[in-house]
Parts: sequence; C-alpha cells; structure tokens
Amino acid sequence: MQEELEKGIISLDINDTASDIDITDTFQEVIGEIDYGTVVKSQQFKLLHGTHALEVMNPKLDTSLLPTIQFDLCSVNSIEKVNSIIVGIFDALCAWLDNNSLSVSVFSCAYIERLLVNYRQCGVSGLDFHTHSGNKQEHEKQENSISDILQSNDESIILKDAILRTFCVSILQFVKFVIKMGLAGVIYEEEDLNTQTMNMNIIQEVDLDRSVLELSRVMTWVQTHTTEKNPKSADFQFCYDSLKLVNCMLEIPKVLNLNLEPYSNIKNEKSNSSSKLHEIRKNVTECLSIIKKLSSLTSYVEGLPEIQGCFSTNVQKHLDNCSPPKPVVLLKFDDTMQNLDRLITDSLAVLRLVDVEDSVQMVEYLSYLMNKREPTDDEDDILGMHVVARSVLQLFLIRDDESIFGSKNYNISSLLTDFMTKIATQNAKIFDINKKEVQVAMGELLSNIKFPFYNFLTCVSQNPARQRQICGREIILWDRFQVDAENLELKFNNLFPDNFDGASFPIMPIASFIYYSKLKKMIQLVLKNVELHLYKDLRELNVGYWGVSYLIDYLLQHLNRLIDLVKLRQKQVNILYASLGKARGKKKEELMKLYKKKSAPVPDLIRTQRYLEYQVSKFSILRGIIEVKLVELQILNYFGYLKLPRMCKVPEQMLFEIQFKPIQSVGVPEMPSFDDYQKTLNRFNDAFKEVLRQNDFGYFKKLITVKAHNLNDYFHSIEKQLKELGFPSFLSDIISSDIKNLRRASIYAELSINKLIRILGDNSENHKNLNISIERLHQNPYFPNIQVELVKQTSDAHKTN
Amino acid sequence: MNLKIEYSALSLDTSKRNRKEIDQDIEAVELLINKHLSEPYSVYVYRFFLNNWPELCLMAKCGGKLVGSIISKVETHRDVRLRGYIGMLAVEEKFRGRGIAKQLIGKSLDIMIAKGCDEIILETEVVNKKALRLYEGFGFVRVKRLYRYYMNKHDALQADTSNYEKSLH
Repeated sequence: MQEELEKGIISLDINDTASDIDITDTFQEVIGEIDYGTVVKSQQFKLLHGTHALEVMNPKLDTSLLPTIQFDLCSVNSIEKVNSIIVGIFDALCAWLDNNSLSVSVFSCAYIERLLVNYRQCGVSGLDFHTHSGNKQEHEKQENSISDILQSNDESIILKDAILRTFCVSILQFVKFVIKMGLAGVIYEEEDLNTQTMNMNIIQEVDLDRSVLELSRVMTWVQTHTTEKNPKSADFQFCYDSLKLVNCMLEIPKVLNLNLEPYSNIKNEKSNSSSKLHEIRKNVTECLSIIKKLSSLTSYVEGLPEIQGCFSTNVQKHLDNCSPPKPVVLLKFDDTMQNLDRLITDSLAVLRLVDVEDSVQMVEYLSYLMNKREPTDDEDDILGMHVVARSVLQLFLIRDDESIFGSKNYNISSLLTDFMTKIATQNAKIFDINKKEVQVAMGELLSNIKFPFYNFLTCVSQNPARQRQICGREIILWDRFQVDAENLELKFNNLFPDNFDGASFPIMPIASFIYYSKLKKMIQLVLKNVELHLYKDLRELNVGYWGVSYLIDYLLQHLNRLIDLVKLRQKQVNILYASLGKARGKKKEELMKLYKKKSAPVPDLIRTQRYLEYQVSKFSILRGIIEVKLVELQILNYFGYLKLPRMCKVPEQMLFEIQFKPIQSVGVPEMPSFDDYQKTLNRFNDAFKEVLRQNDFGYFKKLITVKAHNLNDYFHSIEKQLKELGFPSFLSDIISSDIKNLRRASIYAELSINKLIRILGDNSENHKNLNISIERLHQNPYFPNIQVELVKQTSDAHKTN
Repeated sequence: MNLKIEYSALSLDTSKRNRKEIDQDIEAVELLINKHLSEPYSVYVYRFFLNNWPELCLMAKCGGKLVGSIISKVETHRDVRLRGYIGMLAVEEKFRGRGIAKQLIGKSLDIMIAKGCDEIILETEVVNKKALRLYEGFGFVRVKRLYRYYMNKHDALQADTSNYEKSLH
C-alpha cells in the first residue's frame, strides 16, 4: 500500500481539484487494520508532520480552520487611525511580553506581517507596506527613504508609509532585541517568553541606529503638527509621545554594549562608558513620564476608531505556525501601560547595580532583585521582575567572558573571592602558605565553589518558580564542596594552624563561608515553598516553619561564630602591633611589613562585623515571627485542625519527608526526623493540656507578649545597624522597606494568635466552632496570615479552608 | 436520581471485543477530555497513553455512556524509580459532585501502586482549587511550581505522593 501511496503522491497535481476524491473512509478502513500500539511510519513524512496530519479538522489544533479576515492596508489614512493601530501594537507587544506567542500578538497586526513578508522577499529595501513582486533588484530601484516620504504632499502617505511604518520597524527592533536575549539562554523559552518567530527573519540586518535615526526624523515631522493652531494637535501629540516612548525604550539594548568597572563607574564621570550609561538611564527614565502621560489618556484611546481586521488570526494561516490556532491577544490599554511601566521601572532597578560600592552590597542588591515581587490582586499570581528586566540583568551583569559588567579585571571569580573574603576569609592563614601543594589544592577548591556561586548569579534573573529549583541545585553544590573544603583545610591546618584563641578547633574559613552560604539558601528554599503555595495548609505550614526555625538556629549559631572570627582577626592585628614594640632590627622590619598587610583590611573587618550583626538581627526577627506562628499552629494542631485528609493514602511521615525533599540529602545540618517533629508536637500538647485543665490562658498571653517584646527589640536594633552599615541610600531604603514589611507580618501574627487565645479563653469549647483560613493576598509572601473566626452556630465539624 | 455508575479500564483486546467497539471507547474518551480540558491534545498524545497503558485509562459509564475518565501512565524515571503519572481527568458536568472523580483517582492510584510505582505525580492548574483539593485529599503534596505551564498561561503545581507500601519494604 505504501508503494502505491508514494506513486500516487508523486503523480499528484495539486492544482487539479476537479478530480479530487474524498478518501477519508478508505483511509479509516485501511488504518483499521493496523494493530493498536503500532506506528507505521512513511519515509515521505517526518513524525511531526504525521502527527500534524492527524490534527486536521480538529478545531483546537488545525490552523486551516481559522477564518480569513479581509483588510486593506491602504485604508488607514488619518492620524486617528494611525494612533489606533499604534495603541494596538503596544497592546500586542505587551501581550507578547506577558507570555503569549508572537503569532497571536505582534505578528497579528497586518502591517507587521506585511513588513516581515516583504523583508523576507526583498531585504532591507523591502521594508514597507507595498505588495512586492518578489524581485529584489527591481524593488531596490523604487526604494524611497523616510526623508523622501516626509516630503510628500499627500499626508495619508506620510502617515502610513513614514509614521506607521517607522513605528512598526522600531517595535520590531525591540522585539528583535528581546528575542536575542530570550535565545541567550538566560531565561526559559515558553515559560518566560515565547521566542517562536514563525520562521520569519526579524529584521536582523536592519541596523538599530538606522531605525532610531528614522524615528527621530518622523518625530520631528509629527512635532511640527502639534501646534495649538492644528485642530488635530492632540492626536499628533499622542502620536509623538508614542514614538518618543518607543524611541526611549530602544535605549535599553545599548546597555549591553557598555563595559564598566564595578563599584566605581558612576563616581568616575570621566569614563566614557559611565557618561553613556548616565545618558541611557536619563532617556529610559523619561519613559516613565511618557507612560504616565499616556496612561492618563484612556478616554482618548477609547475614542479612537476601531480598525476592523487590522489585528487578526490571518498570520497564523499565512506563515509557519508551529502552535495550535489561538485567538488574537491584545492587552487592555491600561494593562499595557502598567506592563510598560514595570518593564521600565524594573530595568532601571537593574541598572542601579552599578551604584553598589562593594561585593557585600552587590550580593545584597542581587538578592533584593531576585526577591522583588510585583504587587497583584490575584493571590495565585506570583510575579517577579519583568521578563525584559530579568534578561537584561543577567546579560548586563555577566558577559560571555564571565566578566562582571564587561570589566577588564573583575569577573565571577573575583566577585566570589571578594565576597568570601568579606564574610569569612579575611586574613586567613591558608592564603599565606607559600607551598605549591596548598596553592594547587586551593585553586581547585576555589574553582569548584564558583559553580554554586554562579548558580546564585543566574538564579537572580529567573522567575519565582524556577528560582526555587535552582536554589535547590545550589544547596546540593554547596553541600558537596563544604566537605571538600573541610577536608582540605583540616589537612593543612595541622601544618599551618589557624585556630580560635585558646582552643584547638580550627577556623576553616572557606568551609565556614560555604556553610554560611548553604544555610542561607536552605532557609530561603523552605520559605520559598511557603511563597509558592507549595505548603498549602496549616499542617504543611507547621512542618515548614518548624523546619526553618531549626535551620535559623543553626545559622544564628554560625553567624555568631563568624563574628567571633572577625573579632579574632582584629585581635590578631592588635597583637601584631603590640609585638612591634618589642622587636628589633630585621625582625622588626618583617613584622612591620606583615602588620601593614594584615592591618590594611581592618576597616573591612569592622564593616563585616557590623554586617554579620545586622544579619543576626534579621534572622532573629524571622525566627521570632516563626515562633509566634508555630505556637498558634500547634494550638490548632491540639484541637485537630492539622489532621491529614480522610482519603490520604500516604502516612504522615512520608508527606513530611516529601516536604523537605530538596534538602533531605544535605549532610550538615541534617534535617530533623519525623520522630523529632512528633516529639515537639507531643511536648506542646502536654503543656497545652495543662493550660486547658487550669484554664490558664494567661500563660500564653504572657508568652506572646515576651516574644513580641523580643521582636520589637530586634526591630529597633536592626534599624540602627542598617544605618551603621553605610549602604547607599537606594539600598538601605529597600532593606528598610523589607524590614517594615516584616514588622507588619509580625503584627499580623501577634494579632492572629491573640485572637485565638481570646476566643479559647472566653470558652474553651469554642475550639469546636472555628473557621480558619490562610490569607495570602497582600501579606508577606513568607508569612501568610492565619485568619481565625468563631462561627456563630454550634457544630462539631471543623471548618478549614 | 440515583444512577448507577460502572467503572472499567479500556481494553484493546480484539479477541474479546470487535475493533469498532474499542474505537468507540477511545473516541468517547478523546471527546470527553477535549471538551473539558483547556489544553489541546493531538490524537497522537491520546494514542500514546491509551495504546501503551490501556489498563490505566479508566472509564466511568452511566447506562453505557461515558461520563468520566482518567488517563495515566507508568514509566521509569531517570533509570532509578518507577513513576506513575496522572495525565488527564474529566467528568461530565451533569455528573459532577457524585464522587466519580474520587473513584477514578482512587482506582488509578491502586493500579499504579500495584504496579510498584515508587511515586505518583501529576500537574494541575494553580487556579483549579477543586482539582487541587481533590488530589490533595489523597495525600498528594505540592512539590514544584511550574511557571506559566499551561497554554492559558496559568502556573501549574506539580503534586507528588509516594507509594509507602513499597518504601516500607
């Protein structure tokens, strides 16, 4: 049969439709003989084409079933109509950036489609709205420059062939830039951005500068029509502002070509790159005021004529559509403006990276960018930074040669070493050992720990869900290299001791840094589980908070150890200074040299101590809030609100282990077992039983008051510590705002438990009539509010949401 | 109205039923899933599941008419563990609220557990609270969030449950 079919296909004349025969029934009959589970594959087709063939006539999958919409490109002949299409294209652009495909958004515009098709046929010279014969040379003779078109006496030609065309090309330049970033592998295809171009060339050979020049010529022409005398001045002003907006947006790609030196550029105004960056930031910032202005013109936009058929599904039929047929998606104008505002605001936030002054600030600011969330009215929507800003962040920060900002001297390794030195390895003796064996081993270790650190640097530009997965990978890497670091440092510590004062246990500064990094990531991962709603109910929140409080205890212990280390290093410098007085001659010279070397970083050591103390406060605050939450959850557990669902086929221990799956394999600290967890609950239950027996809720009231006081103390001290850190104001303001957010979360937690205690104190039988829900909207992502309500009617049934 | 619901697995055994009847079952399952699930699936996807794991295509019928179906598969994951996967589940609107989905899930889980699955996973839309509640009632734990996983741009939550019987051995 296959042979006959192939002969038939070869002799087929697709233009001869008169003799077409419907073979569907015959086909069905023939394939009915194929055994189930067998695939018969023809050499004539790829498997993908075969599966596409099976989709014919399926309305969800067959693009050919889409209707064809008629539209005349010459019908747009007034400024109002041009503005209407400009708005549509902005709406389409933002729909694409909001994770729709180009085929249903930007490419759905008939003008964009025509530009792309012409460009494919005739190259740069075909970049217009005319219908071409496909003869490139013939067309090159006819090519009119934008300047020529602007001289035309026919305004409708200028509006369409100069203004609208230039706007469309500029938008395509922006699309090209975003696709280039999307394909650079720093974000995820489909989930962050759809980079399918329907196999169209997105004006790759059209120079950005050329497009920007044309844009400025067109803007000049439009501006001359915005005078008060012109009855359509408002229309032309809207058009001008729109052109200006895209003009400023096209400044963003330029940042990726700048090479800057971290921690110095902005202050160094003489640098060419710095002044360029300054100019770019100024222009991009201008977008914000334009967006604000355009956002206020919603009623004007609503009054624009609707251009029937200009945006349609036609392109899905005309071009290579690799996706199922889908309706056109254009955002509402308000949403478009919000989207663009986010794009610009977040991009500007990314560019502030150049304002940090050292590696600690760099890591702090990157962590802020990573955890930056867009406020939303939908609790299921967890939005990180705008996809364009996230891509820019990664490509601006780390270049192909691993340099930071394209610096000649500072790369990922330098940043890691710099940061590690500031946290734990300043004046570490292991770096002074002048022995090849040690240096080789150290080189290998440092190059290994670059992997988890690089993991962190790439994680910052991922969407919130991916961040958690990458964070999990980072933990495993830190854990592995911690063992290597400990072995290496212990081995050489015997030869070159670097121990705590009066004790024989070694400092192991590199392993200490790794442990610090790992613990912070483990805490972050568990808290991200809360943020991403992976811990969905009271029982899982209780397990999660219990686990994270355990990890915070370890981190606090370790931070205090690091503070001791920093103090020790300062003390060692003082001892060295004291010994200078006693030494004489050559020995004194040597000591002086050593003193100079070791005392130089003392200011850094003082800053590190302050930074570590600030972190003690920060994590103590987190622990304090978690403790309040745990008390409330465990009271609810006592009354049976944390029970497993009835149909659950899995024992609680298994669920407990799945919840900590990504960190279960970590060696140190080993996560506590389910038995440990059960014992904690039992201890609480015993204590609470006694409270109930004596009806003494005062004990809990006092407990919460004490915890609230402790939290307040930390909130007071952290503000002071933050000032002492001397971070630039943009960074300390951000951190300060985060602290306020935590304070708000702590108040919610206290209010919630106080309410529960009051309800139970009024009548301990009230526990039977509680309605409990987890409120996430507008709450701190790590601390959703536990809403406790007393239900009026008497019922034995527990009600939990 | 107390209508009797009968549950059965898809059988591709042509020695017991004629091909036309089997094809009718397959077509009915495809129609039901296509009608109720937001994701479009090609014929090839259905055939992949149904031909390889017909015993995991469970049908709920009322008076011979298909009113609910669940489609699952069992495969080795990363060469280390046997993973069950619930791919699709749909119940006709008129028949919802009668525990049909619960029955289908329960039966499917039992088969996968009997097959020795180390874990069973599924994905569902983060906004589909009913489905989440349903699966979580069986002890599924959310293990991963998948950003903009579905074509309708919703995030997915991947849920996981382990086969404790196997793990205890």
